Amino acid sequence: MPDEKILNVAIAGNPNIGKSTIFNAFTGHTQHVGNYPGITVEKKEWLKIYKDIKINFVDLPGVYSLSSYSEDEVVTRNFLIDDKPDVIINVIDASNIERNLYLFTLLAELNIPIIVVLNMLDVLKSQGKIADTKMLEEILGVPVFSTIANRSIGIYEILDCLVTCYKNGNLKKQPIAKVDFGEDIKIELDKIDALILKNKNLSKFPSFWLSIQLLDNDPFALTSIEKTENETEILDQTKQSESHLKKHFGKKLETEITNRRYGFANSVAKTVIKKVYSQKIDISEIIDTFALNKYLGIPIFALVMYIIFKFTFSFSIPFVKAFGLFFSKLGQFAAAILPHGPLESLIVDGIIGGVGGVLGFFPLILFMFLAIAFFEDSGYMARAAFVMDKIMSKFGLHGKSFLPLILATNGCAVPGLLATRTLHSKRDRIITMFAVPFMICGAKLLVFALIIGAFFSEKSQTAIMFVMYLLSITLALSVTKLLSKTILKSESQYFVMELPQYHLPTLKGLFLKMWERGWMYIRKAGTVIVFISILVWFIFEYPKAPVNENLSKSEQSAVQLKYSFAGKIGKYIEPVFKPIGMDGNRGAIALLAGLAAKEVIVSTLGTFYAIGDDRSSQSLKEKIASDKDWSPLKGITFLIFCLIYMPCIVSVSVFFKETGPSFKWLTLLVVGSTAFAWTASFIVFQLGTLLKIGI
Amino acid sequence: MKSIKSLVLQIYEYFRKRWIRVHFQKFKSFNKCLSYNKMAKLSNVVPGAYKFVAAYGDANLNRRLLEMGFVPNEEIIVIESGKKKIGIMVKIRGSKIALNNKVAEKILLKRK
Repeated sequence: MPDEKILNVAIAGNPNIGKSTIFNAFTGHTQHVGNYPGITVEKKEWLKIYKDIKINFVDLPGVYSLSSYSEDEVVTRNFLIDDKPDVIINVIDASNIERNLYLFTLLAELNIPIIVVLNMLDVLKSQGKIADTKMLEEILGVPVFSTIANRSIGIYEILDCLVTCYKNGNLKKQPIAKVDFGEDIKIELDKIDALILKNKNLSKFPSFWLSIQLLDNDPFALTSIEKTENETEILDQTKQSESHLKKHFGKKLETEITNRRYGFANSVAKTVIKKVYSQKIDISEIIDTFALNKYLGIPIFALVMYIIFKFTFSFSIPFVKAFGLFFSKLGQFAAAILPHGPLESLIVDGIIGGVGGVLGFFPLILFMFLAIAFFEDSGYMARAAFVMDKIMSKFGLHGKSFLPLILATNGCAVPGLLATRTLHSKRDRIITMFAVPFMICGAKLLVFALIIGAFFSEKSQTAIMFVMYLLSITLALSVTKLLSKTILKSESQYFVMELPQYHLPTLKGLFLKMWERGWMYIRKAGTVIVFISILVWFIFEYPKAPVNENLSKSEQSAVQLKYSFAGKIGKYIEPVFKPIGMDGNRGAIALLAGLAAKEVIVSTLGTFYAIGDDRSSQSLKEKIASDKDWSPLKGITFLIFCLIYMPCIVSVSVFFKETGPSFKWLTLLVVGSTAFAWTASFIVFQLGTLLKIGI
Repeated sequence: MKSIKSLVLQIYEYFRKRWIRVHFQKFKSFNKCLSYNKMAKLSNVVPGAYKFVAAYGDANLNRRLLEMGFVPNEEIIVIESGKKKIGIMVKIRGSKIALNNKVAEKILLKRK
């Protein structure tokens, strides 16, 4: 009979040491694994049943300590304090054991059983060192396992240990090693400890931990004792101890405490890690001398970006063609077997036309994800943030702002917006959040691929796409520059960041990641986009125009368009869209529908062209290319508008939530970006018409 | 009595100020004063091995650095520094850390 009680297991550790990889190995569930700090910004949970015990794994954001200076640290600390997991799995990077043990000393004070997992032993080995796991186990007093998580070795041993220790209650009696702070601090700590134990309101906190935090002047600890029974007593005692100890040590108490912790970590590291042979060549160093060079750094960065685009576009063309052909054939097939009537029109024009338009570009997105995932997992992206910091700071951004921007380019604006939590100041966060919606996300990429594919030759497509990406970055940067000059004037935050070791990503990891992000698209295409496609189909098809036998098929559809809801809506909004080269029906309706999700622009165009045509085998791209109402100039104008105007509803709501929630920023984003989009495309279209370019 | 006391105080004050002038005014800038004491800001040093002395940014930064392992007397190896470089990189406790110039100006190092 399965045990009804759930075993809560939290996975904690420093940023970027493979916590998420271990989480994935435990649960079989794929979660984004990145090789730069701060990729997990929210905790993720997954329930697994192993040997009849329900184990709830919680993956926490990576932190260096449990203080409260950034959002991700607050998430981790609040979970550990409030939810009190049964076991903490502390993942430790063997190649950087000292810093990782510092966090261990903090976790050890929480009175929660700990299991240590030594990860990245392969990196340690490549440095010519080995770790003595038995010794580490003895010193720390907790079970220690070694794994190389991206090959999922040793995961079952850990699960077995978890289950057996849990069953016979061994975990509760763990002799966890704690840092010896010395007699003087210990006496003062005990005094505060005694006072905290008297206070019933504070019983949920580990008393020893809280007293250290109080001596450490942690703002969270100070607020948590506020308005409890003997607040003044505790505060007085803390102040007394503090001044006493300060006199004693002659320096700040925080420094002394951290010093002791690091002293502990250092001595453990020295005993455990042994050098076997001297290191031959450090590949990370060699790559860094080029990648972080003063002159080569930025060109290499640009080259990496170009490789990503080249790879994506040149390899995906045959697949995109095949997918497009598949959907048009599917449409013909469905038309052949279904009886002629509204149902046929709904399925062929509405659903296959709309959703097929979106899914037709699916290979493109998968290739894009694969290419970016490679550079992410290898550890280059953290360097890119460092390389970009000088340039970014000129535009009022923080070097780390670069990571949310890449995330947005690499999928969706929503994870990008969430990733801004790794920035430490509110001002940096808001300014970055304004830049994120300008990036070309996966959904906008579809629109771009469609329109560029329709109007430009195959050879120039990659180049034009690259220019569009540059344009989006330029726009984002000019917006942040403008904001930092006007509304958000204060200086940007400090840049301190750990650079991870390079390592070769595993093929399995890359494909898992690619698939996980790609799956998000398919899911969206299956739900939101089906629904909106049907809606769009409906407003184009109804109310029906009176049938006139004398008219040809194309004339008939033109009349139908006038009668339909879409035609009526189009008439109202036409005056707004006319100056930027769009008629009321196609472009304008597509852009309006695109507010729900940007892929919908493609699906709407797909539905529109499917309705007006007689089941030919042309793909959507060819249909648009042969439509006389479009021209390359109109295409470009359309893209520019699409690039800048208001982000989709989901991004807007996340933006609203993450900024405060604040209506001020929300209004600025929605009104500002839409007005800016209209102005920009107005200028482009009118100039183009005047100079007769691409008409 | 009072006048004698104030006179003594004035003499004391004169010598104190003179002492300060002699000892400190020979330094034309803060950086010169630091270099006299064999210290330098991280932003001004050449690559090599150093000892961390102190950070004097705001509380937030000091805390952050402390947690990253910047403890007084800890060995720091400066890999890259200088205003014209792409940024500043140091090695502390076996891991590589990237900083920008603004942080580097708040970090004091001592030659080993």
